[in-house]
Amino acid sequence: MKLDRIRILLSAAQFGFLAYASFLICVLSGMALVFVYDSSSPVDSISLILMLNKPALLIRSLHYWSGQIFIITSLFHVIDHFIKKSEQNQTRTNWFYLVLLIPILLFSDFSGFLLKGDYESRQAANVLTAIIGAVAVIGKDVVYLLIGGTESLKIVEFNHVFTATIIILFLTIYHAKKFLPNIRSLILIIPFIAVLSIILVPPLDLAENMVPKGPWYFVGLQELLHWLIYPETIIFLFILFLASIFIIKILKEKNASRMKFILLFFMIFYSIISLFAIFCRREGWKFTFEFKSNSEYFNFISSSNLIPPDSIPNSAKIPIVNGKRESCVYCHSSMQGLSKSHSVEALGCYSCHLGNPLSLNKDVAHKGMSLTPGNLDVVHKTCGRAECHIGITARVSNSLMTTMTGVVSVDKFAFKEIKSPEGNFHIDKIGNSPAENHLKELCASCHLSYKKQKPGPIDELSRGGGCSACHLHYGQAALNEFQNRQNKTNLNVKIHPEISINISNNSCFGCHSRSGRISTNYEGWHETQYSESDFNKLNKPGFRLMQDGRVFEKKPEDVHHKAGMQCVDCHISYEVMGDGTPYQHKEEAVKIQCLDCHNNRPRTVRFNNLDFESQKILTLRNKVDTSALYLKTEKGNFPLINTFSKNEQVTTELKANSKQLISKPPSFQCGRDINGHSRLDCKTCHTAWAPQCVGCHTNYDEKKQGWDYLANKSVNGSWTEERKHYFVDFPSLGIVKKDGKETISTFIPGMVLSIKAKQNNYFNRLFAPAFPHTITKKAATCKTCHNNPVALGYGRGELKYKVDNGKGKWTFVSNMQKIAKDNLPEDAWLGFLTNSTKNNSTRPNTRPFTIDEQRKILTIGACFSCHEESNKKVLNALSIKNNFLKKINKKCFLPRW
Amino acid sequence: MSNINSRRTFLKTLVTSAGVFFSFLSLRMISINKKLYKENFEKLEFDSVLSLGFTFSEKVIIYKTENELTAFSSRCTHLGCTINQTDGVNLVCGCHGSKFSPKGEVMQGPAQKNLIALEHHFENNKLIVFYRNEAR
Repeated sequence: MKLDRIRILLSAAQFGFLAYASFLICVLSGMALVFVYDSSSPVDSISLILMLNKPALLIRSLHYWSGQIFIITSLFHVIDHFIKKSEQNQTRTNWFYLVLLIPILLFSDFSGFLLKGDYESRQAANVLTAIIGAVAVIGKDVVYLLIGGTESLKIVEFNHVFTATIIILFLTIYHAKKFLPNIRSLILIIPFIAVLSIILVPPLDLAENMVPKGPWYFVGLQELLHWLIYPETIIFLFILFLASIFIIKILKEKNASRMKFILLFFMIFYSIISLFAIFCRREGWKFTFEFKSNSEYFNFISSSNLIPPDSIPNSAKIPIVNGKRESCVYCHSSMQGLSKSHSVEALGCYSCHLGNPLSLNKDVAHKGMSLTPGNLDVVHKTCGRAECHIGITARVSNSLMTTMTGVVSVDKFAFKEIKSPEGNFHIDKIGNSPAENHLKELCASCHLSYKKQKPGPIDELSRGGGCSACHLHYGQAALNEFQNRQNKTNLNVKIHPEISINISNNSCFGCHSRSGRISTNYEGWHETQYSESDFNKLNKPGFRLMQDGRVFEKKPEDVHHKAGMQCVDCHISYEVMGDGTPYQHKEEAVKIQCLDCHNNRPRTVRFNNLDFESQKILTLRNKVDTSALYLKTEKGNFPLINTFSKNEQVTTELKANSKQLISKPPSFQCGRDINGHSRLDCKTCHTAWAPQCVGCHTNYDEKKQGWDYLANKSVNGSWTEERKHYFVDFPSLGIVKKDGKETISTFIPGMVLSIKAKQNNYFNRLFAPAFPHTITKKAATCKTCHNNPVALGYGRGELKYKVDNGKGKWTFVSNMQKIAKDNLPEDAWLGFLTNSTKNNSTRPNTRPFTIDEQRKILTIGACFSCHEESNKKVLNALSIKNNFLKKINKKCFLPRW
Repeated sequence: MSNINSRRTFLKTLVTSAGVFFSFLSLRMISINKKLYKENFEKLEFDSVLSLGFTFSEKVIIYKTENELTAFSSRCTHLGCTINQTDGVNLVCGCHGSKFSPKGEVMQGPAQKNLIALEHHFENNKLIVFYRNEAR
């Protein structure tokens, strides 16, 4: 009995009546919406509906779902009647009108989609205009009749509300021969549509969608358009489709059945390409087979959006940001602290923090929010949006600060996984080789794509964070408020940290106080072996405890630091954020050189010839001077906009406080004019000291637990490092060869270490080129290099020159332990008066001195073994251009080799 | 028969209730809408005697010459920052550097559109400017 009743219920509520019932609900709800929808500002009126008018939101949802159910039930209605061969009972005229209903039905729904007026809708309008407009002679007029032009939605609104509705109503009554659907269909369909409307609320697309897609029945068409050379073919295909349906009436039964099968096949094909377009097409309509979260495909907003807000402010109170309403700013209107360019007034909150800007309900609004929008995994939606800093985020993703390619290649070279420390690697994409595991546990957090985990100020322990790594700055007020929130004394969120180009050394310090210790060297701090508890007992000045427990000792600071210069005063954006080129090592990416500023004839550029970024920054800082000669680097001609040349003097203006410093050109006494010194680099003489880490051992213990910094999780197997000594001395010297030119530069022990991996043990004696950042005004003296075993690469010990029976001889006795693997002292680069082995550096284009070069250096050193460095006779003899050795005193004994 | 009749009555009542609920919802929607748009524009008052050149206020910029007076929204057409600076001749937005002529025409980007001109008139010795808070 019960089954019978259900059967009766379902059969009476045929698909046709269900479709008609849905249509009537659509019309009724549409009539109601006319009172709240404004086609002259569609996005604004719908935004306000979403935020403030919840009854309207529900009616809008009803309108949307009843429209979609109308199409779906109409489709089943057609299929139902095809199976029943109902076309045999219709006249040709009736059949013609029914076929006509199909495009009108689709247009009715499509025009509704266009009325949203958001980005997706505008794109859909463009596509339709292009397709129909391409038809010869009448195309453009037909388009205008249907949807008007781009300036107004009035024609779409008229056609949607009146024309299509009346035609559908008329044709439906005409072919159904009934004014109203039966009650059963209403009973069935009303609850179904109501439930759908409450659970899945259609949203508004505010962020210009990366992949604008039309309504679900339209995406298949978009996919087809992608394949067809001439888009007008679509119109031809559509007319063919309608003609095929009409022809079913004319053909004999057998052929009609065949035609129905063809149409079924087409329907299945269209469904498949629609699904393909929905799930597999991403940005740029590129094919991507990667599962994403549901919100990427179906962006309905949840039913919680139907909850009315606590109070309903009038619409004037909901601020308009970037042309669109944003509820975030209504609640967070008193937010202060941001710089002008990123003020709440200009950008609101949504364009950086995402979330839902069309809800006054806190939980709904905060869903999907990013508290760390600078992270490189979301930056394409935040800082790197098309209308903001898209070019910069593209550069950053290629920068060494993100890829760490040099670190990866050198490590793999040390582990003998590659033959030379070169290659284009990316720290985020490394695998599981021994070197790569080593990197993950010991190095992999220091790159820009490392995610900042929680909001907060940058400190010594900060790593990564994308744009925020440098551009996030907590002033005192923001810091106080942050700390109050942390210890829960006050949960206010009223002060936002500054997002600006006001970048302090704090941003650099965390990562760059490791590895070569550039940040700490620059400030004059040298790492000791003391522990935190030792520090507490030390009780004397000149020591500093870092946040990670390391203890540093005061040493002479770099003169540039003493003058007040920050990292960013030299290291411009085209270095740090990259210039787009994927460099392999840091010295290739660095543009600045000493002679760029310390030059009496610097390279310059005027304001009007600067790139857009430089001009914009100068404009916003109110520092435009069209008569000024801004300096530019020799490497790559990049402008140094805080440095200019005036009255034959180079002035550097500090970015932090606009204080001006004069950059003096090299002294006329510059050592490079001396014989044999032509290959010297500025820093080679002007470096005070470099930290040198000696006696390293790296061990892998598969039984212990380690921490993978890439995956941010605990892993089996732990890499640990030990070292014996931290020396602070003048660095070693060696040769760097670039573009055929050789330079004598500074080096420190890079990887002189034994590695005990799972199956293999490796030993390396690799020195690394380094710029210690301990520049001193007073240059090195002769003996600093010529009589210094560390400078020569021999290591620490006694380097002595003895004269015996008129014969001079150099000897060296190391005071460090020897490493059995190559029988050299643990701090040496090469053996005394020997040539180095093949793999001796962390770069393919660097090397220590050859025997010949060592002999030349020691020959001069021999002079200073007896004579004072200030001895004028010796200095005069050395200044003679050619063959000065012939002019020496007969009592002098040069070394014999 | 009576079963069918009573069932029919019941179903009709159900549908009618749905219709009543829908009507109530629509009325509520319309009343909320009325409240929302009630104060979408403001009448701002200024002293009728203004100095020549620019006068800046929170929402409006007034430019007066000997012969005419124009009023614009002080919102920059780029991202909506309040303009309150000039470079001597033109209006300059301090956020991203857009420039506008004294007549509100955009002279330098990133803004692309002119400043929105506002209707105004003199009334009882006061200058009344009609400021609309609308998304463009």
